[in-house]
Amino acid sequence: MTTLELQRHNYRAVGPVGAAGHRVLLHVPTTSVFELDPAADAVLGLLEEKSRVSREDVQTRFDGAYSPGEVVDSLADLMALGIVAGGRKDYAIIARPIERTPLNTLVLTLTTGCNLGCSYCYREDLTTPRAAQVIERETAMRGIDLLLREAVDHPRVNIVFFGGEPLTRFATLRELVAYANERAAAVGKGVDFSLTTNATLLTNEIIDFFVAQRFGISVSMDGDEINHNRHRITVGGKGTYRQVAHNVKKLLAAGIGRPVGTRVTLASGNTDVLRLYRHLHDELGIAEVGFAPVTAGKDSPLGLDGDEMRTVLDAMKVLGREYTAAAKLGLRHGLSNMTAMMQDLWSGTRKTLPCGAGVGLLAVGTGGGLSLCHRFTGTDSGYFGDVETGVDRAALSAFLQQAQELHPACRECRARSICAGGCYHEAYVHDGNPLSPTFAHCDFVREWLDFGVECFGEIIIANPGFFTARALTNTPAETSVLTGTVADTYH
Amino acid sequence: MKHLRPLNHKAHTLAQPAAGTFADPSAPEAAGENAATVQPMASVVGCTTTFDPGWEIDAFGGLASLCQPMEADLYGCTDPCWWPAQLADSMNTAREWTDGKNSALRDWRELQALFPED
Repeated sequence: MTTLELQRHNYRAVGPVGAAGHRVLLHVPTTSVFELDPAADAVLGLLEEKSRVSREDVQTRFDGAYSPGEVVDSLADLMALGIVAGGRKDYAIIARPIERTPLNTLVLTLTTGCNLGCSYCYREDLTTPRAAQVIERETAMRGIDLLLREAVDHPRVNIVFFGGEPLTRFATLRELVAYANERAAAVGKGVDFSLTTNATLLTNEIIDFFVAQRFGISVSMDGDEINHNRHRITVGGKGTYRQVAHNVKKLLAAGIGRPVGTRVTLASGNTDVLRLYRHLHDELGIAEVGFAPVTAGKDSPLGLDGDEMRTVLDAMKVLGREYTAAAKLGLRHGLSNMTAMMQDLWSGTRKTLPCGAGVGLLAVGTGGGLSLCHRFTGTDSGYFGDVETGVDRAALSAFLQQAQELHPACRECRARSICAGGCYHEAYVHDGNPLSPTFAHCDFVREWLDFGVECFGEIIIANPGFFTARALTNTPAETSVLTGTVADTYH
Repeated sequence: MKHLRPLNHKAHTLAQPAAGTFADPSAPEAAGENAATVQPMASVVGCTTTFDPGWEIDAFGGLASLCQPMEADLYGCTDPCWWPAQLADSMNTAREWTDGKNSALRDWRELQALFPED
């Protein structure tokens, strides 16, 4: 007698969702999303109850309730997806050598110096502007040459200015923009610029320049005055809220062409996500607000503890439900964590790598060394070549090959196709190994994904056109690359 | 799929394997046996005027970048369009095979048989 086994690692069913009250199913190996009809739901329900069923069990249970045809077809659908099988069913993704991929984004670390001394900053080599290591103009230019050379198939490239605080080096930045525009035009490519800034040094002149060059701008801000000033302080210890809020208002009033985003770092004591969102989005008028728990070592007092993570997740769900309600009416909402996840679910992203670091994106440190991303510049984790000698393809390839291997701990996880192990840098800070999964966040990731699948189902059932409309194209790609650690992980 | 209604892009491709070519090529099994069904080549009349060999392996030594599943050759070169050829693999082992023979229409006599090297 054949028995059929439920393959729990290959799906996640959430709901009931929508007016009809059906469950929505995420097919984990492919990130496909389906709506179950009552027959399929009942068949899956039986398997969930028993884990393993024989043909007889099925017959006895459904005799009279559903026609044999309905039951057999439902089982066939589930078997086709590997959710039900005679024995363990895995869809291993074989790691593919990544030998040469065109770059499209280069992060230039202009300086390791910052005029602020935020207590939670992850930069190991952060200093004051006076003691900073800055990038030589020539070094940065070789970086730009490298990007244009390596961006073989891309008609447009992105250059991201990063620091420290990149605006402490505005003169250099302006020269580099001119150089990049000239070189890109010479090889027939377009170039987009963006930067992440603490906004304390924005002047009218700088804002005009950003408007003219259509910069994508991401401001680091932690919310209202009390919360912002808790960690985001000057080197001398003073809060920076007033100056930042003043400058952000000026920036928004200048009518910059692309939406201005902000990322909020949630550190211990700063977990009132709702209030932060209301302030930044509703009161200040920032279009995209993303939240990311601080990157902190295991024993750091800055990290969020379990209770605080709970508070954060609950509040993010409140905002996520607002997002869902808006989307059903065809309106957009500014919670960028949600936008990113809806994007992944709509397109069915199935990741073998957690992010584009080392594939489409590399970062240049102040000395010219190439790192996986902006977070690794200035760490002692080694380089993948430099701007003079080019990308060390052998080393990078070996790293990416290893990164594609599914960690044994991830094999049963329903978030594996979306998370792929999480942020390299987060893992590096926690475990000293960028290839270790970010275990501290696993439960959070899974719960957020379940929530996302439910919201996705609700939106698409009520308003099927939402995802094909413009609603998801508001976040500039390079801003989402930089929304940081856990935002990356939780996309 | 009769009882599972596709909601996202990926689910649509999985649910209709027979209508297109492969579903997600890196997880062909995921859609069950239908996904592995090779569709015969679409162009019957044109297959000798467009010289369009399929490759057994791609330039990286794998299958992932093939424009058609390799089995398409078998079907494409039997009924109703029989072509008695084991084609040279000009991406890997016989790169110069077509050098200087740029027009299949004009130069096809120049295409030589290949013999294993000692």
